[in-house]
Amino acid sequence: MTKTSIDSEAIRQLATLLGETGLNEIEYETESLRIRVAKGAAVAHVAAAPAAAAAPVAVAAPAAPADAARHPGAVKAPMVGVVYMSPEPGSAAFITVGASVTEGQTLLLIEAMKTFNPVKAPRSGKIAAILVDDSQPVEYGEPLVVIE
Amino acid sequence: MDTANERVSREALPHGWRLVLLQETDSTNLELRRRRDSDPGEGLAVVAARQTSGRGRRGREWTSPEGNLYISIRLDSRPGGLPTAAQLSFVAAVALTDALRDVAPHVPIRCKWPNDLLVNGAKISGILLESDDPYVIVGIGVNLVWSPPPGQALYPATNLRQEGAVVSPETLAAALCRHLAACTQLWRDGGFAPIRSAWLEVAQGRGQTVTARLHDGSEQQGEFVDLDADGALVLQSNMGRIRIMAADVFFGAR
Repeated sequence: MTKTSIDSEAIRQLATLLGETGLNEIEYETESLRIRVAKGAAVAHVAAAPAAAAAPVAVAAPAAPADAARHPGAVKAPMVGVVYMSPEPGSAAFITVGASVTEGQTLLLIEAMKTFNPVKAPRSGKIAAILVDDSQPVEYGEPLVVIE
Repeated sequence: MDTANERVSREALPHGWRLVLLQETDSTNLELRRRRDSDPGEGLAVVAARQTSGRGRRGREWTSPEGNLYISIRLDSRPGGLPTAAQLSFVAAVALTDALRDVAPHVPIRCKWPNDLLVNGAKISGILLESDDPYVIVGIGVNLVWSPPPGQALYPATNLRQEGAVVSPETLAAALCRHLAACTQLWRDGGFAPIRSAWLEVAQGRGQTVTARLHDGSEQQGEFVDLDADGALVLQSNMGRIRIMAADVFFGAR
């Protein structure tokens, strides 16, 4: 029996594509693997093909819903990296849902390879949604926060 | 203008670069931010003999007694801008490796992902970058005469004097500016590929098991197989390939 490994990168790319295209479902198949990423169920299925090998493994889809990505107030990741919701471990978060922010205010940090980048509010408004969790890896262009 | 706290280095520097030497400041990264308007553009480097609140990754203190090098350099992240700014982490690591080889040729330097330099397995420097769009401030600390005693820091440390090389902060600072200018030019002309190759040549532990401790305290373990096109550390674990973008890396299984 061949061992199936989870290709999280492939799933992430498919989920990002899902967000960008507005599709509900993408299925990608190679000789050894079939990955289906569907939006409604908010899970990604990785199944070995032939399906007899192992039970499907379900992991949470990392992408946010496409409607958030298309929201005019969506603030998107300017670089790949890991999200930090507070300036230092243990300190208060930069923002909370419902809070008012002013243009230029820091919303969160993204770290990639020891490069720290503050993501700033492009305009003033109210935080309608926070689409990422502390320590979560994000891809370029992934929606992070919605400001209304 | 030279003052009691500030003088300008007369060491040979790349065209347009400035090296300012301070007796004391809070943090050289903060010092560079404050000079954004008064001395704009790429190539401003500030050295402090002492830092009163030197910082490491995620708010960690960087103890900064006199004798070591504390330097921050402003680089322009364009043309790539923020999406490729993290590649400057490796530009800085390669440039510092080259500079140390100039001033201390017999000291063997290796690099631990992404940009900690090691001598015989012990950490000799730390590099932290902060974006100040469109610029990136590269903060570098090099242990020249002092390093944290065993147990005090997250990772075992050493210093250049202990490794048999006596180098002044200003000498290393100037060598670093020269190599950083050259490596940044290489990156602008050739993209990440030549920097990635240079980094992989000095990388410690390729093909070996490493442990990456993530922000949430969890650990990922696997064989260090590659550095990807973004600069992420690629580990091969029994669950497949893992791509690490932010972590503290240790060699071996833990």
